[in-house]
Order: sequence, then structure tokens, then C-alpha cells
Amino acid sequence: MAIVDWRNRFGSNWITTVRDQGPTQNCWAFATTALYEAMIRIEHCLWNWRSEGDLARGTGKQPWDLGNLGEAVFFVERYGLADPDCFPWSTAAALYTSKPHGAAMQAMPLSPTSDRAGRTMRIAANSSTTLTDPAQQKQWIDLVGPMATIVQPPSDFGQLHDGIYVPAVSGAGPAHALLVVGFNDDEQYWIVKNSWGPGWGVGGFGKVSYNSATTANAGILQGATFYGVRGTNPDPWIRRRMRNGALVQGGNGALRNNFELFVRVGMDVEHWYRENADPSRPWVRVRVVRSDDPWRMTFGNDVLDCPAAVQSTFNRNYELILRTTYRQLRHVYYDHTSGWWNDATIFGPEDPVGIPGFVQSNRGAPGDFEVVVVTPSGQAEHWTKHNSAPWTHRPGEWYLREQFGTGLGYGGPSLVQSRLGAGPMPENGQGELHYVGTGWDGQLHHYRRPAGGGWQSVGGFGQGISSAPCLIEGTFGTGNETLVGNFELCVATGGQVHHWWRHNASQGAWVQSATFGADVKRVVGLLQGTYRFNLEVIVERTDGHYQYYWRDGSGWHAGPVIT
Amino acid sequence: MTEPDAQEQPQTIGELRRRLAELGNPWTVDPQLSDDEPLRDRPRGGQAEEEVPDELRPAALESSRDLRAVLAEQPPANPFLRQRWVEDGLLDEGEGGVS
Repeated sequence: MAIVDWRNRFGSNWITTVRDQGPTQNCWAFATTALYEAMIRIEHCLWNWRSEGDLARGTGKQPWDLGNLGEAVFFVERYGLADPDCFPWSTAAALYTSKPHGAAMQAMPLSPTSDRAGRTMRIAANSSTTLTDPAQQKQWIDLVGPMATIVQPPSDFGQLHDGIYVPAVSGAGPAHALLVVGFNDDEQYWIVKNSWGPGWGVGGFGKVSYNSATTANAGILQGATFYGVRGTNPDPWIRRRMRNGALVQGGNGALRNNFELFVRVGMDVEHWYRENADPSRPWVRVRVVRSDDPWRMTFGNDVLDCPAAVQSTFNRNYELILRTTYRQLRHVYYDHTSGWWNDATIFGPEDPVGIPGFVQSNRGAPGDFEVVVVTPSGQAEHWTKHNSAPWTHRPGEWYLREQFGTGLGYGGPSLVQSRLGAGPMPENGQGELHYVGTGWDGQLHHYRRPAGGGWQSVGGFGQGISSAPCLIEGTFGTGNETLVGNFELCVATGGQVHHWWRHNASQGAWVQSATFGADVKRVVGLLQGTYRFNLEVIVERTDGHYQYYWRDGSGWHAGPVIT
Repeated sequence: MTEPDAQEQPQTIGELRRRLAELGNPWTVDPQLSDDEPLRDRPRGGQAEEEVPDELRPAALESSRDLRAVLAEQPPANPFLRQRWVEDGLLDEGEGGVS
């Protein structure tokens, strides 16, 4: 063991961007938030932005209140840690407003938005480990991840720029929380992430010597208690851009990363899952999706196509939009509290074509549901259901927002709300909607809708295509949680799958990177999952069965036929 | 390096620079700061260990306890880290990176 630096390990950065606590006394909330962000990134290969404000104000503390890591970890273990669009960081004093909570967090007395339970990362009680022995601390940082700590550096610590910090003044200063992201035994220093903005140290990170110039005062981290956590369970809101269609990576299972799959079998939707603690284990059928409400047995045996699934911020419920024999789209949802599948409503154009695009957007909290579906006339229709204020239509009502495009012949789960157009957190309704449909001319047609604007054509690509695509915004092309990842698109052509991608930072041209598979009719699900940033694909085969494919560092592989 | 003199704490950036030079300390102050600027600490906010109530201070793992045994109860999902565990002997060869 000599050098560990989670800012550059295994060829990637695993640490989120440096934040600034401003004039507040909330360093402890920043170090703890940075710890959980790093562990979600390490345990699930997911960039994420948690809210220091949610943690600081959630514990009942104000900007002037001191705090400690024990209470911060206790809060997260009990109530989770939400994103900035749920409750943003602010240097101002604030109180949570009283709102009801989902069953998973009944004990939470106060909540900033009604969907907080569905947009918090969770972690089990007693998931933290505290270490005081430097050898054990290094072992943990090497084999698990960064650790948070509180130390008492003297006043000159605030002036650190470059080099290895050794106190130049004597005595201890006020206590301050840091995230330890690495160490270097060769040069005898710890690497810490601070919360004093990127202007402190080098880009907000500093090197702190193991030792000190004084014999009475060892290195400032010497003897400090380090907090480590593991077993993070990220919420579906974090993963929302990285998946589409019939396939979801949720928080169930031993490693909190099972795949959940919703496919049409006969005239019903079936729910399947795979336990990802052991990916060699088979896909398992959970049940047929039918109404569990004895007073409202309104759906079942009426399904014409695979659904588009979303795991929403409504307590991580599954929401499905599917074509039914009622010649429109049906919205059904699984309520995690009751364990029931319920009917929501029927809406949309008459005789819609293919699988709809379906996302929960970031306008409001809970965010709106957005659907784009192709009509028999070759247009795309954009439908919206508000889930929170400001209400322009009645709660529960789907309304036609806009028609766009022409000559579209195949619609698929290819609607994404991108980070393109979204500034720093909170996103607060920002971020473009993107949709790709397949035209009668055999081309893929790409459209975008800026926040507050109308749909416009981006351009066409590909040729000879006669099925609908599936689109996600992954994490390739990103170096931290603020950047926009590439689009990844899979579409079936001639019995095989074509994989396309677009470099979104430059908004470059679409590039076809691979062709794989056999006997493929169309792609119904795509996600970038936990494993080494792999892409995971579900296809409907020409024989009507569903098959799993994945791409790792060595290329695309054919998985089992599921059902 | 010698011990910093507690009697003469630097009050300005310039005095701190001189102190660092005297001690041979291996770090620098932001070069954009002028020597005249006062030495200012930044906001903090942590509670010192002894100020934290016992119920919010989890017992640290005893240094005599085998951390490897604690770690082994919960192998990581990250395939790169699993490979590191294999190298370290915490996982068997076949349990390395997944899919």
C-alpha cells in the first residue's frame, strides 16, 4: 500500500465537484454529503448530486449551528439524503415545511416536498464504521472508499495553496470537517477534499502531512476519527437519464442494484427481475401486472405492446405507459406502500404507434410526467401530466402539449430529458427534452425541445431502419456530476442491433459504433448499469421472445433468452 | 524543520510566507494574495470530538480487531474494486469483476 487517490483511480474520477459552504458553520454537512456522493459513485458507478441543505436543515440546524459527523450520518441512515431540486443548499436559515411522507420514511416529521421519500438515497442503519487507527483508515480508503473526519487545524490551514500542509503556527483551531479521498505513503500525506470552494488548495483539494513540525502536535489528521459508509441505495431519480423502456435498475437486492423488467407476454405485462449480486443467476418472473384494487379491476388482459417504464419519485413506484385494446395509452402504477398495481388513467391519441417515450421531468417536485408517442398520421404527440404546482391543468389530467414531426413510422422508448440546457443544481425545470423516432424513409429523426420552447428538428441519421429506437443519456463523456453524458441509442435493423452514440458535450454528429445480435425484431429496453459502466439491452426477438445483451470492455455479448 | 514559535503568530500573509520559509515548510500561500493582507481563517463549524454527545459518537473499531474480517462481510459491487480485493486476498480469483 503506497498511494491511493480516488480522484484518479482505475482510470476514472470518483469524487464529485468541490462545493463552498460560504459563511456558514455547516462544514460537517458538506463533508458528509461528499462522503455519500463518493460512495454512490464508487458502489454504483453513478454521478449524483446530493443536497448539503437537505442534510444541514433536515437535522434541524441553521447556517450558524455547529454539527458533527455522528448526527449527520444518523440523519442519512434514518431519513436518506435528497437532491437539490427537493431542497437546495442555501446559506439562509430555513425550516422544512410539514408534508406527508411515504411509508418508507414514516418517522420523518418534516419534509420539503411531498416526494422526498422517492428522491433520497437510502442506507441501512448502522452502515457507518468509525476508525482511529491510521493503518485501518488507509486500509478502508484503499478497499472501500473515502472517509470523512473532523479535525482542528490552526488558522494557517485556510491559506493553503500548493504543497503539503504542515502547520506553521502552533495550537489547534476550531473543528472542521473534511473528506479524506486518498493518501500517499511515499510522500507522507493525506489528500483531503474541503468545502471552501475551488480557490482553496489546488482546486479545493489539499495535501496534509502525516507529521508536524512540532513534537507536541502531530499531523492534524493524526488520531482523528474517520467515518466510512457503505451499502448506499441510490434513488431512481439519480438514474433517470441512464435508462429507458422496459428495463429499470432499481434499489432492490443484496447489492441494491437489481434489474427490473416489464414486458408484454400475451395480452398482459409481466414483471421480471434479476438479482445482480450474482449476475449469473437467472431472470425470475415476479408476477403478471394486473389491477390489485378489488373495487377497480380496470386493467389486465388488454395489453397490445411492451410498456415504457419509469421508477418515479412517488416513493420509488413503478409507472408504466402502454398501448391497450382501448386504442389509447394506459397509465398504471405499482404502489410500494400497498404492494398493489393500480390504474391511473387512459389518455393519448387514438391508435398510437409503438412504445411511447416516457420520462418524469424536473419541472416541479414531484416532476411532471412527459410522454411522446407516434400517431398513425406520422406525427409525434407530446403529452404532459402535472404532478405539482404550478398547475396549468387539473391534477391527474394528461393534456396534449404539442404535435411535431412528420413521416414517423415507428415510435419507441426514446424520450430523454438531457442535462443539455441545464445549469448548475438545482435544475429546476431546465434541461432539453430529446426524442428520436424512425421515419417511413428508414432514417432516424432526432428532435429537441428546450425548456420553455417548442419541438424542433435536430437532423436525421442512419438508413434502411424499420424499427423503433431506444435512447438514453449515459455517463460516457462526463468527468463529474455537472457535465452532460453522451447519448446512446440502440435500434434493430435487418435482424441485428445497431448501436449509435453522440458526443453531447460538443453536440456532434451521431456515430454508429457496433452491430450485434441475431433474430432481433426491436429494442425495448436500454440502460447503463452498475457494472463497469456496461450497457445493458433487452430486445424483442422475431420469435416473440425477449433476450438480454450487454456490452463491457471487451464488446457486446448475447445473454439468455428471458421469456 | 523546526517548531513554530507560539509567541510570534503570523498576522499577515507576508508574515506567514516568511514563517513558511524559515521553517522550510513544503507548502505555499496563494500567490495572488498580497503580503499586506491579514491572515484570515475561513468558516468551519465542526464540533470537537469531546463536545459531541455520546449517543452521536459511535464506538470506533478497536485497532486490535481485524478490519479485513469486517470488510469481508460486505464485498463491493464495483468491479474495479472487486479486482483490488482479489489482489489483496479478500476475494477469491473467480469473484473479481462481474459481467
